[in-house]
Amino acid sequence: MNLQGKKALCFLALPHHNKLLVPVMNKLQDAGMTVQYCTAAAEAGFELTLKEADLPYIHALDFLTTGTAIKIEQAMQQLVPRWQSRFLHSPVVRGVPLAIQDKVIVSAIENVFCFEEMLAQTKPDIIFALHELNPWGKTLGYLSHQFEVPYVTFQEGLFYTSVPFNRFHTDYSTACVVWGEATRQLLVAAGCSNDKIVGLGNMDLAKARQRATTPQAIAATRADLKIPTGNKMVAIFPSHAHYNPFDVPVWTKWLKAHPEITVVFKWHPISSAANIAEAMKPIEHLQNIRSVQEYDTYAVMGACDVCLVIGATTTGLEAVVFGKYLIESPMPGPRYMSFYDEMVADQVGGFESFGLAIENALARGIGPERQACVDTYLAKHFAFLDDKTDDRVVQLVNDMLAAREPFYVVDAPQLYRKDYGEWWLLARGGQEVKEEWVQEALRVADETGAVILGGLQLNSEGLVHHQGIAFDGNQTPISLYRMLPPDQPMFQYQRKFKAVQFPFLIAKAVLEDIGGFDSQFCGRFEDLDICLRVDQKIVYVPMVSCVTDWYSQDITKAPQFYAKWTGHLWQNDSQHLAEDGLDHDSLARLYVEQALKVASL
Amino acid sequence: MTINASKPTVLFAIGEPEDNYTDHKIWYLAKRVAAQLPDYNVVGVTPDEAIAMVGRTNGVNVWLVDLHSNVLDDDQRLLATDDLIRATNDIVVPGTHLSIAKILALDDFSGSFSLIGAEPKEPLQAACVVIPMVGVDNNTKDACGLYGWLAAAAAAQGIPVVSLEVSPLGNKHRFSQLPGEARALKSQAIMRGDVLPREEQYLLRSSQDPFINAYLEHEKEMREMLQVSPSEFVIFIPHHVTFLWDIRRIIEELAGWQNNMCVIVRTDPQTFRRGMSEGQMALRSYEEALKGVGHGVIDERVGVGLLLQLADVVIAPFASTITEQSWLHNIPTIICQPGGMDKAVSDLFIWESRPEQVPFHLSMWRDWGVFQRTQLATIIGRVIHESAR
Repeated sequence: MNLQGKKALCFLALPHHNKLLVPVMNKLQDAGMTVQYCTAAAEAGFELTLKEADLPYIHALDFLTTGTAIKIEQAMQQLVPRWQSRFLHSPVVRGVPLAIQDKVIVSAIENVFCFEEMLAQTKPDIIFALHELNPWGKTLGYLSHQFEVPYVTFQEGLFYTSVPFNRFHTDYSTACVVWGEATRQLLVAAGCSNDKIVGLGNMDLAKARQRATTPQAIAATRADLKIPTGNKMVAIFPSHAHYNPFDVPVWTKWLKAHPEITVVFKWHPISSAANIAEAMKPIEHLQNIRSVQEYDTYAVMGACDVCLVIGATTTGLEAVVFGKYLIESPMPGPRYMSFYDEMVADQVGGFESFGLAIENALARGIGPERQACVDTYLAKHFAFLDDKTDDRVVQLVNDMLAAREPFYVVDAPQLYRKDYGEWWLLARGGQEVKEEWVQEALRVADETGAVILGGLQLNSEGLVHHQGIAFDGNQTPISLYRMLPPDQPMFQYQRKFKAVQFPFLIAKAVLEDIGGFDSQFCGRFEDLDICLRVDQKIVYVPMVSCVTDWYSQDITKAPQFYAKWTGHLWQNDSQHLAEDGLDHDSLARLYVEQALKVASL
Repeated sequence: MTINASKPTVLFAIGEPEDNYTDHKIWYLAKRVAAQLPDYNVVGVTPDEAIAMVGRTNGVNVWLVDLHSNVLDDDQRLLATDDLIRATNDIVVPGTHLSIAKILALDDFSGSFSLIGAEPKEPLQAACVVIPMVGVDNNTKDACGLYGWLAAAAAAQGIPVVSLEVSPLGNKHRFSQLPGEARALKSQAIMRGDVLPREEQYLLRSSQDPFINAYLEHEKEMREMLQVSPSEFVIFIPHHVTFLWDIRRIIEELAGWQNNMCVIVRTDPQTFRRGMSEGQMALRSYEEALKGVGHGVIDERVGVGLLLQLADVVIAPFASTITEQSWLHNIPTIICQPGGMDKAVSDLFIWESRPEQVPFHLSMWRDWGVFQRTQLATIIGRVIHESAR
């Protein structure tokens, strides 16, 4: 490991983010890195997070220099009339109150230029933020590419919204660290890049479980909450969304009838005090009721016998990790996540059914059948469930930074190589390249001065396997127009790409100039890496070069590839589509047309 | 609501923030505009029933609009977010290729769709719309919805808009200051536009002032009494028998300064010297000099507090409670006291010992645009006329 002298910039916002980011930063510091915390202006008072954690930090507005202020003002002068015109002409834009737009757009503009100045001055080697769905994370992500600095983001909690809302987690992340396979599948289904998703486990949960479930910890929590000795403790975790009314006589009657059970309501940090007071009014006088908000969730969870969650909340998963019997009371409306459907929880309706469910849970306990489901569920959600995730993240960081100092070799034995005088034909094992294509490509090379030439690759079904590489909204390489029939117009003319896949012809002198092959890539990324390093004329020759089904989703070296090439993979698919008179919508329609044709055969 | 169908309509948008900020005085402005534009129906527009009641109580016709937006479910929110991204994805942060939508769509915008579907579908029937500029710290969802809808509908239908300064301008948050054919402002300190008369500025401020309230109530009868028309430039000279010579000199130097002047000398009916009232002494002292200014008035009937509100400028031979009030009300003031001091206390408050220099100061203020004031009704009339051409 060699992180000595390297610098990390870590953006912090809200207190519950600290447990995910600070342990990693501490380990990076132990490994010799300098860690600089930063934050920005927000109505939620992000600075308080760092002050309360006693972490020194820099603020985006510390970089509001004269030069930055001029850039902001110039940007505003251009943007204000444009945005106002759009506001006046678009009902959906008017769907957000103008005063809110005003505040957030001004803040966004300031952040872009202040963060830009911050990065220019601090010169980090790597940047961290919780995720890139909020304005700060997105802006830092964009700038990480501008400055060619790897950017690592994380999973905050369970994703319990409709899938498409998770589309934008990997726009700019070099690596998005998630808990496990379930999250990967959800994000990929939403349109995120599979390459950039790294399953390393949860940073804090295993440690929290260890911490909160020792006999001493349990005793301390129970004493603090004044749980009578011998009483069972039931923890109820309402989500921060709306909830069913508490004033249900069946429930209050049950509570009165069971003084041997203490029910603790643990409220979400962002729930409003007024709502809580209103909800608790009918039952707060009962001896066996407790209500807490600013309290360690894991302490409550560790000390309880049964957990009951109301609505969608990560707390349910945490309860399963803690080995607690889980009851789920869903909220009205669509459900995108269900512990009951995963068979790790009982399901109940409203408060009128809580009493019986709790009695059953206490009587039954977690039997072998439920435990088997829990084991499956945890395996799906957590790549690892231990206290080593921060170490794995540190290793990831090391690998990513090391990848930016590559070692080049003249040979790549995993590749097939054929000599054509001043040219090499490079291919993967098993790819048979048509000689007529090679001759045509050599002719085109003479004509155009291209230094890398690729052709039209078909798959064994006769559809297009590869023409050229475009970069999509995730700043990820994609094989443009894959699976379309080869008679489409876009395949019929010579054109330039930033990269092409094997097999391709490359001028020997050029390969020698760039030092050969990057030794860290074997089995995937070699071709892309060469093309990006060459960074010269790469031409598609409109003739079938081979029939191949080669495809790899091996992501072993993906973090290294994306770390090496951060800032060089800017989205360009729209430009290629525009060359063909298409856009994303019309391309989607084209695929649907083709699919319907195939289906009708 | 009683509307004369034969007259075109001027819509005057008033949301809860502006009603609260002005302590309901903005309705008085609407009423004043209505009185000054007899050829138009002037109608207040608001989404708030309680505010509408305030308007009606103040004698203004009010249109209560329904800006109800349904709560979006997850699918609707997703669709709205998609639509918003498509509608704005081409707008990038200037100097970058990072779109505003990419930064804000999934967080701030997606979580703030509180006005989707809130806008009335029927077209506006208006010759002009007056819309307050939203204040970044003083706004409500409903007011934002009202002003946004009216501005968009007016733009679509080619109806001229007068943007009205209510919340103070000058913040870096400028997206809320939607464009219009004219801006009616309380000052030109921050942006260019038409500056309203003091009394109309007052109606858009948060304070209550008994002097100005009294002036607004009695202006018409005061002008009738003094025979002073709204188009005349009023110079108010507070009088005292100690300063007969000084006042004569001031009036002499004002002769021919500009057309359409009215010099009002206010005397005290309780003061007598040599068997004459102060007014009689003034008449004898300045009769000739007052002929030189065009329209001269010596009056002892109207209270000084009211006269002060009528004045465009105060030229006093002495400092007094009147000049303190003119200072507080930001009325341009020259204290011309021969043998006294020379000092510019502020841009609008000057001590000048030489009467012959008085026209110089007045001309300087005139060139600066200090006296340029346009009533809101005049601005509205002008934009309607220009729009019709």
